[in-house]
Amino acid sequence: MEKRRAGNILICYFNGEIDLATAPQLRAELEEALGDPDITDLVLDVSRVSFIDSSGLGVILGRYQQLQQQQRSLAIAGAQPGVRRILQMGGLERLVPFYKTSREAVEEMGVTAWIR
Amino acid sequence: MDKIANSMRLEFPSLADNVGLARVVVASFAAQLDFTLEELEEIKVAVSEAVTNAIVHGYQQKPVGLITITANRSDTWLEIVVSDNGKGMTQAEQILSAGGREGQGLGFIFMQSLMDEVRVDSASGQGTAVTLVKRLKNMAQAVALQS
Repeated sequence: MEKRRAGNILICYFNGEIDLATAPQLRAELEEALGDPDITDLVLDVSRVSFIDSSGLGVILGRYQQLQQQQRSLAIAGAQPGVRRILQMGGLERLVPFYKTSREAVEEMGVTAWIR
Repeated sequence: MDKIANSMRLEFPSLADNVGLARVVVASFAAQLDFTLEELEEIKVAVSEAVTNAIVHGYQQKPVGLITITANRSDTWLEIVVSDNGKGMTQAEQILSAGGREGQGLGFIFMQSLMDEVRVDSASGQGTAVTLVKRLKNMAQAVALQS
């Protein structure tokens, strides 16, 4: 998982297939990254995700609940049609905003400075 | 139901790394039918959920058991059976698919939403068999294939 910062926003880039084999590693990396108290918002860029099932959706829903409890927010960016459909079926679209790109998500959040 | 035109069987240990293997093999078999790419993706998700259930629930994520997938197809339908010899489920557990894993419970919802038919045969201590059926939507194409 690649990470990038834009102000207080953390952008995480998921790659490949997210299932039972890969979800635990993603969960651990996200939890570690979200340990930084300066991060106020998380954008998950899933544009390079080719497959996701309920294991992957569970990781995202779990982080949504965690962030919501901490009054932080989550957005999804770049979901391809197949991935988006699974996220929709899991009800995620009713909970968090979806954007075409992570840049669009960050700009919508009012941040223009990208930090590597 | 029309006659079986082809069949396959796959057996593998209950390892998370095999979830991807299972869905790719079954999708490749399913591609012998005239399913759309979207339908093949639906089959992949459903198989992934059934195998995940076998590993997480049946064998409680221990690499101790075997998972068997058998699949039959005619020219108009595909039937996949994912079975394990794990701890099995009571009827209530089948309905609720309860558990602590994030996303658990959604697996059965996905299978039911993405396939035309889902059956769960299970009893406590006797393993589980999940049957998934997908039919060709475009019956005109199916009839053309048969003729």
